[in-house]
Amino acid sequence: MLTRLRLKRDFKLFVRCLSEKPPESEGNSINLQTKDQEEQKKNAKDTQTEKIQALLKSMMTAPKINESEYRQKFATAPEIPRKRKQKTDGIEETTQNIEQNLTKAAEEVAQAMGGDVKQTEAELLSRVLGKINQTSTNLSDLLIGMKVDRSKDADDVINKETRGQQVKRLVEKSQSEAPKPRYIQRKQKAATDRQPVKKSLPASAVVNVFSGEPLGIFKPKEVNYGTKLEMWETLNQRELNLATLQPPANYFQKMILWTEQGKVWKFPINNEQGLEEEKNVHFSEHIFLDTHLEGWCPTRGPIRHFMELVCVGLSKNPFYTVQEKKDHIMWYKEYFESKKDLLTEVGAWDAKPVDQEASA
Amino acid sequence: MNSSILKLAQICTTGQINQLSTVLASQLHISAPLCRVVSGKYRITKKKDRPLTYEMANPPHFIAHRKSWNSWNTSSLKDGLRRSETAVEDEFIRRFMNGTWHGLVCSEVIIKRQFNHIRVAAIIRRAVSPMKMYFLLGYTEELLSNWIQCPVTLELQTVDSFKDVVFKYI
Amino acid sequence: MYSNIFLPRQWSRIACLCRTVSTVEAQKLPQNSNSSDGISPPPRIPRGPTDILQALAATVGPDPTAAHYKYHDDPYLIPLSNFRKRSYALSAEAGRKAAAWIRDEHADLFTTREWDPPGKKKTPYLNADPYIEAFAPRPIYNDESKVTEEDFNYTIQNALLEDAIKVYELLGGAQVISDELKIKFLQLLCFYNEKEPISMDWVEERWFAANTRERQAATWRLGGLADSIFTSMEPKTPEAYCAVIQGMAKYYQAERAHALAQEAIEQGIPLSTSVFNSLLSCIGFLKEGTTLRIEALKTLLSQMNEQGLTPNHETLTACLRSVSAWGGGKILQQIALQVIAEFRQIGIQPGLSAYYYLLCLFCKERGAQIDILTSILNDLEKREKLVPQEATDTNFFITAMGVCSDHLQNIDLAERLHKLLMKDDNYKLVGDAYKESIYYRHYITVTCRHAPFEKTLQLLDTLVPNVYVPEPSVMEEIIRTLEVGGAGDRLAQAWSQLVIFGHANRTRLVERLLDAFCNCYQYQDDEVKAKIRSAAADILKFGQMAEEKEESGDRRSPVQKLSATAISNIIELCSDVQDKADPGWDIVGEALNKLRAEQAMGVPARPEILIEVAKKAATVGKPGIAATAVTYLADCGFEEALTASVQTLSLMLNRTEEEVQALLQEDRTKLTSALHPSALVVAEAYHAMKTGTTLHSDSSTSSESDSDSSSDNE
Repeated sequence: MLTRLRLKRDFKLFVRCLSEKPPESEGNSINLQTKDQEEQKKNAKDTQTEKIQALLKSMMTAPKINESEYRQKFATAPEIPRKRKQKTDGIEETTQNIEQNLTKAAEEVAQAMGGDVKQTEAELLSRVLGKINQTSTNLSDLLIGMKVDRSKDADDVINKETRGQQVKRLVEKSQSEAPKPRYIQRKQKAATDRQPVKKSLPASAVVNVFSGEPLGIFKPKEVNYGTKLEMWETLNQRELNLATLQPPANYFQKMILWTEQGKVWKFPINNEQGLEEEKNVHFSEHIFLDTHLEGWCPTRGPIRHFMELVCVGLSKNPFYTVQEKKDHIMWYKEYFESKKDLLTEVGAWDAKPVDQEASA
Repeated sequence: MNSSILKLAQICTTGQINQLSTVLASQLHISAPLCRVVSGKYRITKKKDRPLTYEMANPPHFIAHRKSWNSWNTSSLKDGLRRSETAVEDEFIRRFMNGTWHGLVCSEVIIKRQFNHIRVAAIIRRAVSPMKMYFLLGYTEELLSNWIQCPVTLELQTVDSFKDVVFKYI
Repeated sequence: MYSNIFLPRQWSRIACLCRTVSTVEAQKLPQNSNSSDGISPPPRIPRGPTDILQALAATVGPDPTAAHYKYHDDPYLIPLSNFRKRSYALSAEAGRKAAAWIRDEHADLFTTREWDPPGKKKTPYLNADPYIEAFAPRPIYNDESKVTEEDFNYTIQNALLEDAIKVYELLGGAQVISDELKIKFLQLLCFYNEKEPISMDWVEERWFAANTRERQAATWRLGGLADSIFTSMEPKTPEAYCAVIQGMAKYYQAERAHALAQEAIEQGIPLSTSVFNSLLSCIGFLKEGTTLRIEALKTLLSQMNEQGLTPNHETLTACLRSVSAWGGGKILQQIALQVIAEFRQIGIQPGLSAYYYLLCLFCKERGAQIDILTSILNDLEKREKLVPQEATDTNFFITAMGVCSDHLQNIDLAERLHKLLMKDDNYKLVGDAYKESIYYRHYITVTCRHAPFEKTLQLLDTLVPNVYVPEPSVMEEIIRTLEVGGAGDRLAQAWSQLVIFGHANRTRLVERLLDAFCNCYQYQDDEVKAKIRSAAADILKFGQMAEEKEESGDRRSPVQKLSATAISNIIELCSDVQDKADPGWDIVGEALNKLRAEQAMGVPARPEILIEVAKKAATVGKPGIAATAVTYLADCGFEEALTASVQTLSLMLNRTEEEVQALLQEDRTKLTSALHPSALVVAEAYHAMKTGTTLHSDSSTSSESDSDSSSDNE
C-alpha cells in the first residue's frame, strides 16, 4: 500500500519537474508556482500528459521490481540506527537502485513526451539526481521533496473522487477562514524561505579576505592617536565588558567574580590582606618603639620603666597603625610633661643615681 | 519560642529596653547544656503522633556519630575568633530563613562557613511556584550578604511535603 | 637588658636597612636560578588573586547534562523550557534587586557591622571593616541631598548618568564645577546621549534583554545638556571637541559632526583617531550614491593621514561598517577588500567586528553565493586567542552561523565555527540569550539538513534541552529529520519534549509530528510501535485536557483544535492492535467521537484510514467503533462510505457483500428488528449516504473550480 503510494509520488515528482521550467523560474516565488499549476491543469487535456498518465498507470500495474523487494529497500534504508555498520553501504546501494529506477523512468517519460528525447531526459535527471548527489544525506532530501508533494497528492485524490465532498470542504473552509489564511501565509513564507536551499546547485564563489589591493593611503610611521579621552575609553571598556558579560558558569567563575567585586578574600590567603596602608611600613617600626622615648623620657626610674612597658604592650598590638602607636606614646609624653613639677618633686622624674647603684 | 518573640515585640514597643537583656539571655544559650538529660530531646506523646525528622530523632550525644553539626565553622576551635558573633549571626540567619521562607523550611538550617563565604542549606517544601522560590532565593542571598558583609549562598533541596522528611513518630 | 641597648635615633635607619635587605633578598632569590650546588629553583611567577581560580575554572568544561550553573540544582527548580529559563533567572534577579532596594532605602538600619577590632566605630552606621564597596549602600540623590564634587566624581566614574545630572544641577551648573570634571561629564553625556545606561550589577537583565539592533537614525539630542555645556565652555579644549564630535557621530548626527570636525581642523585643534573613526562610520548619512560615498571615505582617510594620526583596528571596523551599510555589489566588495589589504599592510589585523561587517557585505540573502567564511575561519583559527575588542564583536558568531546555515549550507564550516566558539573562553562572544538562541537555531537547522543522521542525533543530545531549547520552527526541522531517519523511538520522545518545551499547544507542530508518526510507523519494532501508539494516545488526551482547562477558564488564549487529518492519524496509529481489550480501542473510540462531534477542523485527508479502521473494528469485535467510523464517513459525504458500509456490514454479519447489498435493499422497518443496533447504524449510514450524495453532486458542480484554486494555495 504505502510503497505503491510512494511509487506514485515518485512519478508525481517527475510530472512536477516536467511542468516546471528549469531553475530560473524557481526563484520567482508562489505566483509562478500557481501559474505552473494552472498550466498543469490546462495541459491536463493535452495528449502528451495523457500519455504520461497512461504510462504511470502501466508502471503502477507492473512495477519494475517486485513489491516485496521494493518495500524492503525503501523501508530498510531509513532504519540506519539499528544497523550502524551497514549504514553507508546500505544507503549507497539503495541510492544506486533508486537512481537506476529513476533513470529508467525518466527515459520512458521522455520518450512518451516526444520531442527532444535526450534533452528532456537529461533535464529530468539533472533535476532529481543533481539534488541527490549534491548533498551528503542524499536520501533524506529526496524524501523531503516527496513529502512536500504528499499533501497535494492527497488533495488531488480527493478532488477527483467526490463532488459532494468538495462542497463540504468549501463550507468547512469558509467556517474556518480565520486560521487558514495565516497558515497559508506561513506556508508560503516557508516556501520562499526554502527557495535558496534548493538553489544551492551552482558552486559558490570563493573569496579570499586578503586578496585586495591596498589603497595606498597610510604608511607605517610612529604611533600618534591624538587627543586622548580617558572617560570615553573607560566607558567604551565598560560597554565591551557588558557585552561579553555572562553569568558565571561554575563555582570557580563565581569566585573570580566575587574576587573582582572585592567580596571574598584574595587567594592565596594572606592574613595581611586589606592592610594596604601598612604595606609600606616595615614590621620593625611596629615593634621597636623605644626610639620614640628618646629625647624626653628619663633614662631610668619608674617613668622609664612604665614607658618601656607601654612600648612592649603597643608592640604586641596588631590593631593599631604605627601612627596611632606613636600618638599613644606622645600622649604619655604630654601627660608626664604636664605633671613634671609634681614628678620632680617626688623624685620620679630624675631618679637618683643612688637608686641605680642600689638596683645594680 | 513564639510567645517569647511576642514578648520581645511588646517590650520593644513599650520601650522597656532594660528588660530586654533578660529576655535575650533566656533565648540564647552558649554555655554548657543546662540539662543534658532534657535538652535536645523530644518527649513522647500519648498518641505517638509527634513527627520527628532524622535530625530531631537523634539526641545531641549522637552528633558526629549519627548526625552532624548544624553550624560548621572554626570559631569554636581553640583560639577561634569571633565566637559570639558567629553564634549570633547563625541565629540571625536561621530566623531570617524561617521568616522569609515562611512555613516552607522543613529541616534544620545548616550553616557552613568557608573563608568568608557562608553557605546555607535547608530542605524546602514545594508549596510555592519555582518562580517565587527563585525570587526568595535571590532576595535572601542578597539581603543576608549585605547584612553580614560576606557572600551568602543558599543550597536548597525541595521535597513534596513535610511528610517526606519525617523520620519517625513518637 | 632591653633599655641598655643604646642606639640613639638609629632604629628607623636600621629598620630601613632591614627592609631593603629583605626586599632585595626576596627579589634576588628567584632570579639567579643557577646556584653553585646545581639546585635551581624555578623563577617565581607573580600571580594575581584570580589567576589560580582562572586556571581551575579552565579545567571545568561546559556540562551539557546539567542546567546552567545559575539555576538551582534541584529537580523542582531546573528549567526545561525557554520561558522558564528566562523567568527563573529574572525572578532571582528581581529578588536581588528587592534586597538591594531595601539596603539603599534603609541604609541606616544596616548598623550591626563592627566586628574586629571592637571600638573603632567612626560613623553611626556602616562600620564594616573591611569596607566592601559591593556591600555598601548606594547613595540616593534627590533634591534635598547635600552634594559635593566628590559625589559628582563618584556618579561620573560609575556611569550613573541620571544621578550625575541631578548632582550637576544641585551643585549649581557649569560655573561651579572644575574644568576636569566638566570634561568628564561631557564625555559621559556624549557617550550615552543623555540616556541612562544598563547597570553592571544586573547580569541576567542584560542577558535576557534581547535588545534589538539599535535604530540607525539621527537620535542625537539637539540642544541637550551636552550641547549647552559645550557651547558654554570657553575656551574649548581639544577634549571637548573630540567628545562632542564623537557623541554626535555615534548617534548619527553626521552633518554637524563633520562640520564641527572641519571647524576644529581649521582652528588647528588636534583631533584624535577615535574622532576620525566615528566620522568614518557615519559617512553614509552625509552622501548619497555609492561612488560619492567611496570618494568621501577615501578623502577622510587621507585627511586622517595628513593630520598625522595613526589608524587602529577601530578605524578598519568603522570603514567596513560604513561600506557594509551601503548595500552590496561588486564595487563595494572590492573596496572592502582593498581597505583590509591597506590595514594589513600597516600591521592591523581585522577583528571580529570587521569580519562581521564583511559577512554582512558579501553574504546577502538574495545575492550570489560567496564563500568568504572559509578564509575568515582560516585566519581566526590561526590566532592564539580571540580578544573581544568592540561591543559589536558579539555579532560575529551568530552572523557567521547564519551564513553557514542559510547562505552556504555548509555543515563543515558550521562545525569549524562551533569548535572555534567553544575554544578557551570564546563562548563569552556569543553575546546574550537572544543571540545565543539564534546561533543554535542556525546550527541545528544546518545540521538537521546537511549532517549525517548519527551526527545530528549526537548534537541534539548534547544541546537539547539544557544548552538550547528548540523553537517551534527548529522543532519542525528536527521532527522532519527524525522522520526521514526513521527514528520512531526518538519521534515518540519528541512528543514529551514538545510538552516540556511548552510547544504542545502548537497545533501545526503536533499535526506535523502525527504525520511523521504515521509515515514511519510501519517499519518500526513492536516495542517502538507501542511507544508511538502511547504517544499518539497522549496527544489526544492532552488536547482534551487543554479543552477542559479552557472551559474551566484557566487558560486565556483559546485552544487550537487538532485537524481531522491529525485525529485520523491518531486513529490509524491506535487501531493497530490485535487485542480487543487493548486500551488503544478506547482511544480510537474517543477520537471518533471527537470527530463526530465536529470538534476537529476540516475533514480527514485520507478517508481510507477510517474505512480500514471500521473493517478492523468489525473483525475484532468492536461494532460500536466500526459503526461510528462509517457514520462519520457518511456524515462527511465521502463516496467511499457506501462501499465501506457494505464491507463493514458484511464483516459484522459474516456474510458476503452481495448478500449485504441485498439486505440493504430491504425495507427499513424489517432491518430494525433483525439487526444488531450497531449494524443498524451502519445500515442507516449507508442509506443516508445514498440519498445525500445525489443531493450534493447536483449542487457542487459549479463550485469545483473554486475548491481547486483554494486547495492550490496550500
